[in-house]
Amino acid sequence: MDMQKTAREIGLFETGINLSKVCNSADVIQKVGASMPLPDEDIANRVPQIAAWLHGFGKSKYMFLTPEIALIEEMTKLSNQEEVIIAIPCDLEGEAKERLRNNLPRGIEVTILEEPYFPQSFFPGNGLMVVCGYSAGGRPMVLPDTYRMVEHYSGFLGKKMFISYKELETAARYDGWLEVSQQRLSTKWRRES
Amino acid sequence: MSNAIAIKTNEVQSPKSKSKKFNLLDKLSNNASLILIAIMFIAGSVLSLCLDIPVKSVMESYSYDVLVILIVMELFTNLIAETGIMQLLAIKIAELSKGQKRLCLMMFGGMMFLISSCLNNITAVMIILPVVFVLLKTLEVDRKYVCVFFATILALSNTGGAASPVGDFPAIVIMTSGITSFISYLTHAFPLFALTSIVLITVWGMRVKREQDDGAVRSLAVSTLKSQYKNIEIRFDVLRLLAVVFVGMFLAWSFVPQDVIPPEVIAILGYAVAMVICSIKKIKVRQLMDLKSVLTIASFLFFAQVISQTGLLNLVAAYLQNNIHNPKLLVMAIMVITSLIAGVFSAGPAAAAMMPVIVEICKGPLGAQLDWIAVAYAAAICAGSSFFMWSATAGFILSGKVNSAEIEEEGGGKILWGVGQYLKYGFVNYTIQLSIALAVMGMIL
Repeated sequence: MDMQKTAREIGLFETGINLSKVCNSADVIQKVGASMPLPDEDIANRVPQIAAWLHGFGKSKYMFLTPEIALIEEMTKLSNQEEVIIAIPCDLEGEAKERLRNNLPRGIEVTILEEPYFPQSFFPGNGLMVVCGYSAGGRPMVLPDTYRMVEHYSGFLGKKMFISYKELETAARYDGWLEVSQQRLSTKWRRES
Repeated sequence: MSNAIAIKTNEVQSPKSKSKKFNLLDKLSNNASLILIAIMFIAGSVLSLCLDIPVKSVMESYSYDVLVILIVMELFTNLIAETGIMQLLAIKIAELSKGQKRLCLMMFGGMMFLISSCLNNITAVMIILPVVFVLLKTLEVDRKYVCVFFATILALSNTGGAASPVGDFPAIVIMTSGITSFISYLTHAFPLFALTSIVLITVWGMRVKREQDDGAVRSLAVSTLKSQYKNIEIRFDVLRLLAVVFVGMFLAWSFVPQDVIPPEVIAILGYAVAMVICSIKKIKVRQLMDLKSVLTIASFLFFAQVISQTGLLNLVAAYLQNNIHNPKLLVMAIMVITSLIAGVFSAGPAAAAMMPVIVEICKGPLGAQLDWIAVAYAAAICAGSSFFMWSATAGFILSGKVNSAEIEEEGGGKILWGVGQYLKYGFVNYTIQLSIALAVMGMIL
């Protein structure tokens, strides 16, 4: 069961919500627990908070480096004036790309941007970049293609938000995840305790 | 440095020249079906010229109608697929089965039978497969399950195709041959193939062990699948209209005499209306079809027509009738022969080659049982086309898709499903289908 692959297609939050329903199972812990941190049970409740937090920045364009369907759906409930750009890795399988294109949330303008292309009219004044992963002892960890895209789109000088679907207290690095330099990110979302 | 480059160049050139022959063989094997098409057309033309049969007279009785219906049904299936209904059905099945492997197999098999009976089975398989792959990858299936699952799907796409007169090529040939009517074929064939499908589903379903886990992984697999398709748009508005058109076509095929409006004209009219509806409703009208399979069938129809005009098939039919006096045994013998031909040469050529023999035999003492003979013939072709991977219309396409989906076992090994893996399952499929068909014909005729 390759949940990292699934996350590339539906985003870490949607994957996390699905996992949170079964994460007490020994089978799931054994099969998924080694490849990514299991989410908190209340992850579904945090998604609206994160959407509201992002909406609070008052930008008109949001560029996601992972296809966070759950998060974008929550954003549509807050406003339909915004535009969402989902950057997809150049090495995403053709069928997964097609599925993702057909699975875009409705009620808001969502466009797909294939790496290595750059978005049109996306400036620090109107745009915001969203990077999702998990945090390990405060260190932002992302999937390899997200890492690559963070580097590729590092020329964007606006806000780059890091949102973790799981905050670990220890600096644990899961197989296949990479740490993003803090300098590449401007703001981190922190869970209200 | 330059030396190093020179040496490397030599190394590369040497195997390149050796592999030229292999490349040629590779190219030939990759284009085997195209070469076969060319051979059939050329051989047919040469034969007709040698035997002084004008090609024009061969073409006058050529079954264009079969090709027209085949193409139109494939295009019609494309329109239905664009509404997104098949993905929705597949996801509902995954949800209802709760990811239980046995139930998944049984329900997807049942779905395959029903869809194939109305629409083109290759297109139906193609649309359902992406959903199936997503589910199987998350369910963590083993090699045996993949073999059983796709062997069932392949067999049921064949039984579905034979269950209605427009489901697959052999059934279309039978309908257009005039030995039975649309409605007679449907009422006789559907129950038989539905029964065969139930037996196949039960037999293969019982081969899948019940899961001994807490169900969490299966639940995760289903919820992941739902997430991957949660925002797809199902165009029920278009689907309703297309269903009305399809029912209209079905009724026209059933009740309008073939000499008033031929079935292929009904198919074209129906597709034209459906196309207009989709254009107005802004649905993509994809005019994609598998031209290779159409050409294969066209070439075999041509060759069979030439052979038919030589009178050879009449001799075969007469020989069988003279040597097997019991009409019931005669039908059964023809069923076995047809099924083996279908197994070895695939369904399309077998249907084209054996049809003239069947038509001849129908003129004999079995003339009163035309509807059942048509069904017996279809059942034999259906059984034969489940025998080997290459026999089925959708066989190689399905195999290619399964292998490129890269389904992995728990240990990480890639699961392959090809000719070798299908062999024993194909034999079981063939035996079950032919046994049921022979038993039913033995009782009825």
